[in-house]
Amino acid sequence: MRQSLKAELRKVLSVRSTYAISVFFLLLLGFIAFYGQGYKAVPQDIDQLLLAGTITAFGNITSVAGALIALLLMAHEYRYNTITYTLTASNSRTKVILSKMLVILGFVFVFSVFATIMSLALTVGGLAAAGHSLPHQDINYLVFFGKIVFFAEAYALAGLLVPTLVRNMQASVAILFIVPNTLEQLLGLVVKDPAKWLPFTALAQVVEPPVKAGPHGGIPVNPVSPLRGGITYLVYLVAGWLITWFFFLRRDAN
Amino acid sequence: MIKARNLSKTYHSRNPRDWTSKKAVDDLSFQVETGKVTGFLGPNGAGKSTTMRLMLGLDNGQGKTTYDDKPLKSYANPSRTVGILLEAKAFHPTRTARNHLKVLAAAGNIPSKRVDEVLDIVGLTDVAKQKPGKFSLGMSQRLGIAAAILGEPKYLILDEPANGLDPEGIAWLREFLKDYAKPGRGVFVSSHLLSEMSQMADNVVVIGKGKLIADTSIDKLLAGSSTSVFVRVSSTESMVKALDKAGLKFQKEGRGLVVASVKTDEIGKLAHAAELTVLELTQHSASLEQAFLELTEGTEEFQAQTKGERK
Repeated sequence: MRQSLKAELRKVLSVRSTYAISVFFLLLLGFIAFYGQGYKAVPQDIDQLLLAGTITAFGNITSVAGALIALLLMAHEYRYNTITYTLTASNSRTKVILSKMLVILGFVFVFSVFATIMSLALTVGGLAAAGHSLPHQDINYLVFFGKIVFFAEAYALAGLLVPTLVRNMQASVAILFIVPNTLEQLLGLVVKDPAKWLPFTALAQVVEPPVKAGPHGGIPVNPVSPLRGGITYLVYLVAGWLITWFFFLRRDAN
Repeated sequence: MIKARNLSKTYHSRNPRDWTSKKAVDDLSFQVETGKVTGFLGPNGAGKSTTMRLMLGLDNGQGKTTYDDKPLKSYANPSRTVGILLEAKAFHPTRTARNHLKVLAAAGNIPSKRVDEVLDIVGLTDVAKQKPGKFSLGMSQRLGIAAAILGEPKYLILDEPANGLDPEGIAWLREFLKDYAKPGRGVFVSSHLLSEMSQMADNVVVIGKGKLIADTSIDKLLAGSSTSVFVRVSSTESMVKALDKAGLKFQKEGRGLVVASVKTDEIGKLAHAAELTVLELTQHSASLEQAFLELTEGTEEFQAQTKGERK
């Protein structure tokens, strides 16, 4: 198992796409944090919940980066037929899957923590550059980081799942973006409580700010709690991975 | 020794109008001995690549393959037991050649310094830091061979490793594989280059339409195949009469006759009995190509038409 982990880590760190995606999303995140959330912040919005409100933007951007890197880790195996080496070098296909999962979880953890710290610092920097002073923030940083990391990890595991099942890079990318952004939007029109039943809508609740500042204090905006949203998503994710694992063990290598 | 027993693989059609299934490999059993190079021959579509994938557990099918009486999965580091080359271009095009091998080394718990050794063996040291996406087929094959020998495995399973290699590369590969097998290791290699195979392999496994046709040594295969005799005598006409009388098949070639499936002794005696002076008498031994064509006749999956057959 240790050598499988080492090999998967080398795979992630030795391709150009990992660095291209990481740098692109860090630049995007940095720009949004510094300019959008900080420098161009409207004075009325600069309150004790300002940083808490940035969680959705930061969570979404870091999660897409992690999911793409996870997707490519598996999709490249099929695209370039390196899966034959991967499977013959290991004595268990389950070990291969677990190694990929653990490496992606580790990579996404480091990336999302770094990206979030960088984004918070740049938001504060942007506010300072515009001459605004940041009031004391009503924010639990541990929960803030925990939510972003969970959101990014959960999305990354979906990014790894799709190519393992469909074995085609283009189809995997399309599915990963169409399902959450288009298919669930359409299903939301027919499902009564989409946040309760649809996986990605439920997952979004994890990083939705729990309250929005109003004239008389916080106004709850989440249709379901972040915990409930996270659990709903995990049920889908576990079921999806059980099916994927079953097929991964039984199908021909490629 | 690698023992493949009762390997079978059936592909089912996904066409709803045609639910037929096709046996790509049909109850195939053979073995790959240590200390020898075993060639794997068969026409296109005979099931050679599928057989190799079944042996490695890459495809799900029936039967079992053992390596020194143990399945591959029972080894902690399978890449130290068997090295593979199934496809020349199986690498990420933007991961450098050295990094490609380092990934494989990590997966097999092989020291990284071995990467430079194998790059040197296959002659790719100068391009180790290059991305292999633009490698020629020959360079890709060399990288694939480097990957196969990375863990100094006891067995090599190579699918068409000579494809794309230049003549110097083919000669190098031939000697390399023979040397690799010598110290008690086994090499199982498929190739369409039959002349190369006849110089390289000690044993051959021949399949057609997924079924075993022959599992024997090259010498026995050639000995069992038809031989012909070229004869030139003082009177071709009299010789033709003698051959007809003896019921032998022959055809004219230049100023002589080529007689199928006989030895020189027989023809010499016939000529003597017909009171003819023998001017030339030569035994033509079968080449591996002839032997292969004879063995696989009628088992070709895809066959080109000759000029006369075209409408």
